[in-house]
Amino acid sequence: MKRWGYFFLPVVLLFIMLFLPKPAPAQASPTFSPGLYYGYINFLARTDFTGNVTVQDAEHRYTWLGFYTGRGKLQLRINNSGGGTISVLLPTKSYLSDYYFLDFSKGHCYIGNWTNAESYYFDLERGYPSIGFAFQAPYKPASRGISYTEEEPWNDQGGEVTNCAEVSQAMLPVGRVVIKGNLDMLSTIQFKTIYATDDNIGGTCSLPGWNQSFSFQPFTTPNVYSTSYCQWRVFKLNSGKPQKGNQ
Amino acid sequence: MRPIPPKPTRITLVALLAVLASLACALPQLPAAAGASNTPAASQATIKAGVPAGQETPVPDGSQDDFLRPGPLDHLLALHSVQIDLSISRPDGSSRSMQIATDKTGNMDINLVENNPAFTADLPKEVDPKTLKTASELLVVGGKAYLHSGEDLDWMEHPMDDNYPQTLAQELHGMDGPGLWLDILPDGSIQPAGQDTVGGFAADKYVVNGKLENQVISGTLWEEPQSDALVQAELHVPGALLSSPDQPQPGELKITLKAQKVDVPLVTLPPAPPPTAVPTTAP
Repeated sequence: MKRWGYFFLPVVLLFIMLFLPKPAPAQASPTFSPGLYYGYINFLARTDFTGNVTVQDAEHRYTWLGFYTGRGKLQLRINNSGGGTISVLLPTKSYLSDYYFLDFSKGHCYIGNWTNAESYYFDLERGYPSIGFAFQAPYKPASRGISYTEEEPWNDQGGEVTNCAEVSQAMLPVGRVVIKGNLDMLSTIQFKTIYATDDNIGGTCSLPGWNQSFSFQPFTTPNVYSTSYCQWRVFKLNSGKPQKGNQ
Repeated sequence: MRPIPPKPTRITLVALLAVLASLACALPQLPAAAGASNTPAASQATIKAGVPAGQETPVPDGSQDDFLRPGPLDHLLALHSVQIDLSISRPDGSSRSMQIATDKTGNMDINLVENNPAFTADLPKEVDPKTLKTASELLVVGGKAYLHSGEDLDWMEHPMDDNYPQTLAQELHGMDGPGLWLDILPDGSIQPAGQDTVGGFAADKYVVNGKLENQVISGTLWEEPQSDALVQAELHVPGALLSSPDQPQPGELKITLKAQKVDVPLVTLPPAPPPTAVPTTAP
């Protein structure tokens, strides 16, 4: 009898192990209907800073406004086991305006610059063992080069002030440095699914590392990096392939 | 009580069961029922890392070539001595227009105009939004783009982009181009509508009328069969498709594309200005 006990005990343990409820694995089970999905990703991110500092009788004020848009194409390929591939093509545009206002008893000098830039990023058919309700894809818009499509100085001077225009022009390269630095902050897009049916999937997205706020001397006000919106939506192709004549 | 000494068979049996148990634990969970899954996002199944393509189980039809494969828009950009006007107006009130004049050698003169109320809403009070320049001009010579600038005197010596045609093509394949929207339409949404001549091209005309999530994408396309180039298009995409279903956005995305055969003057770069004389001092 004892000998049978030695045999049945491991068998019972095995069955217990097999049928006890188990915690969900890190790589989740398939959730979306298998197929090929095409759609878009659309975001607007921005930076805002205004800082004042008064030195003797002069008031200095800086304002920086940066807008970064992505209006691209997204493809999800979901297989029967819940994994698949993600492709992203994301043209990105940057719009930066920076201003410096100097007011003092004998006049004023206001200068500013507009700098616009274009870049794009694509990452094709990156494979994932599981595509669940949250997923991510690489996004490095600075990595493929940046085209500066607009650079325009602006100035307004009054009183006993000269050379304002020259200073404005001399500051033009600053815009490129700022845009490059901000795009360098981006490396990933995180997707969060809000809705999913057999025909379409979509939700919100975020740019990790972007949303932040920091101050720098001598200013006490923060430079705020935020995301106004980031959304995505893909639609299932009923034929599995784009229609002829498209693109 | 004297313990029963382990016998090789018992050890083997227990070891085998242990292996089986390990295998059972490693088995994937039973798949959820395929189909509609309006599951809230609370279930946070997160991908930790990507793995290289080619290591996955088979996926549905299509390949990565489909995502970036050259199509009628790329064929349009390859046409020489044409002028292409592309304008986009979006539901949020922003707009963008491009005029691309390509000469017979493939060099381009591109004029861009961008308007977005969001960009000027928070300007400092000292700055008049009307003074902001929203237009710019790029010259593309030998594939390299140069920003035609009145400020930088030697702009013709500093290309902004070494392969601007590719940058341009990628933009047209994005959300502001017609291709993406045509791709996601159900089969049968694009129907032939005879032949037509537009912009000097003998073209096949197509009517677009496709329903997606109870929203209709409509418009008209003209494609030149000889070059397989999309030479004219007007597409209306409901704002509801640009937003989540529970908060449909009013308005529409309107994309208008018009190409015409014209004799575009040769696009060249002006000569660089002579270097500024450096003042010298007498010994």
